[in-house]
Amino acid sequence: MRAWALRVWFGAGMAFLLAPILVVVATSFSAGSVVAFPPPGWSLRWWAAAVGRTDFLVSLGLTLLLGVAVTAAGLALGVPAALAIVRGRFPGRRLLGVAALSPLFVPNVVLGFAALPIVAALGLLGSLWAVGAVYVVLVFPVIVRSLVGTLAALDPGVEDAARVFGASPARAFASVTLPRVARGMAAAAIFAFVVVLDEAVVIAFIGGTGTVTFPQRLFASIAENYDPVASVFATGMVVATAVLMLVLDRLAGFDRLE
Amino acid sequence: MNGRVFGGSPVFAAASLPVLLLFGACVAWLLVLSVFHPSVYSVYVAGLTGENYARVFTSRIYQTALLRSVRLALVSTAVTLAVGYPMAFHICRGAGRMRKVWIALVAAVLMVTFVVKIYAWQLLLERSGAVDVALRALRLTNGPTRLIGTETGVLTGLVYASLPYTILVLVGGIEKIPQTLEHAAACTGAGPGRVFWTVTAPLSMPAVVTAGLFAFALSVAAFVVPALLGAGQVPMAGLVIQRVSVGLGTAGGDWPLAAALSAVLLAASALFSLLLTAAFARRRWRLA
Repeated sequence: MRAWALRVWFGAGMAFLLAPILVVVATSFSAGSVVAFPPPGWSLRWWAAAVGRTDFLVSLGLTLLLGVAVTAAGLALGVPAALAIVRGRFPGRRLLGVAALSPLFVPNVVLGFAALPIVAALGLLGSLWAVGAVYVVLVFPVIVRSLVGTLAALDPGVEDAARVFGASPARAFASVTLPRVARGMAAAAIFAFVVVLDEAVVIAFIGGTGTVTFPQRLFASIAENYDPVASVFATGMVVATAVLMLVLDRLAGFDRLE
Repeated sequence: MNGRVFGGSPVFAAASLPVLLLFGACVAWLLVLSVFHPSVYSVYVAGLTGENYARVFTSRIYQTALLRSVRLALVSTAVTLAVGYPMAFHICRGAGRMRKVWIALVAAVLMVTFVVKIYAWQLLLERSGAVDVALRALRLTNGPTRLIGTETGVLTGLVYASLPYTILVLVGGIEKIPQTLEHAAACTGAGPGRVFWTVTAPLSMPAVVTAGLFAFALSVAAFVVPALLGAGQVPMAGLVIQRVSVGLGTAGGDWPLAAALSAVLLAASALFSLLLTAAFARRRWRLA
């Protein structure tokens, strides 16, 4: 392909990727009373209206809380698991590596339905704890995959050197290895957090009626009618994502994103 | 625990147990449910029956939904690769200093909440939405066209969903190819087209396979896209599983049937992965 044709193709492709996001941002500043693109005029009326929308705000708060809790639990389980996968010298280590990533190969629709009978049998339909537990299954492989890469790239010799000078294994890990994987861990945490912010499928099965997360609220408001306030909150999410991306760049560098 | 290295002991591996047990229990129970009898009163009755699978394969509704899922997933995978490969190639070989910026932008698009992006497509694909207006301006359509509720609309969403993943995976693959190989081919007289087809394209095939697997898996079990862009007119397997399991109106859910549908969907994804990897494994498309 000629260079200019490649350029045009690339430009068109990027426009395809970015257009929907610009549309969401534009409709949030619409002056019209229904969502339309292009908007009939510009105003901040929907941003003003958004402040009073407790349904969206409660869902947003719930999702952020869920995101933090699930990410923390995912790290608490994922960090030791990744260490065992990279450094373990026990039979079944390879199998563990495959098993830990296996939830990635089951689509969310199937996992959501598969969790339904068990969650229902325990009487936990709609419980935040049940949703959180299933979400940990979703983020665990994401965290492990990201950390295994980070840990495998480390030179084990440095930690050995600390051991030679008398540090205990735990001390050598904490003072030598941990600082060097901190960025990788933070990046893994952000990926996990985004998974929770994004999730609208599993929750459709086990969320019951009481627990409405932010993606679900957005989904419902779009599926039923075009609520212009949805554009405002969606724009907020776009801005929040951009901020997270900048943080991620600082932590890991975009070059290392998969 | 005084292991040689910190983290080397099997005790650390135990941290994965809660996750793997919950996950394993879910999937195992799913497979068991798929051979139970459905029941109006108690959702399911324990037993051993093939009737759920028989219904999946003989009923028009479920057959259509499954076949459509596989067909749309195949088409969207092909389109995504065709659109994404030149884009990834441009990022790696033609973008120069902009390379990092483009990668960041694609990654940023990927990270924006999925429902938000599909919401935007709903606005764009509506009757007298931007796409309709553009199509009419270009004289490609005569009257007003509503792409919501059509396979074309759903396909647009599926391609949009997997394109950023595909580009990032392909960029990763093309980056790994040593440019010295391309230079060597060029030095010995190969034109740019020849260099691409004999060196770059074959060496990037492993990344193409990985990207294809991603795109297919995302599309075949899609839920949000057919729900929002299909408007009830384009049922795909994911949607049907949800409807069957939750039940419609006053009728309760049919869990055994939904379980059989899920199992078939899982099998279809696994089969596609196996076929694609097997097809490319025999070729020596790897760096020696």
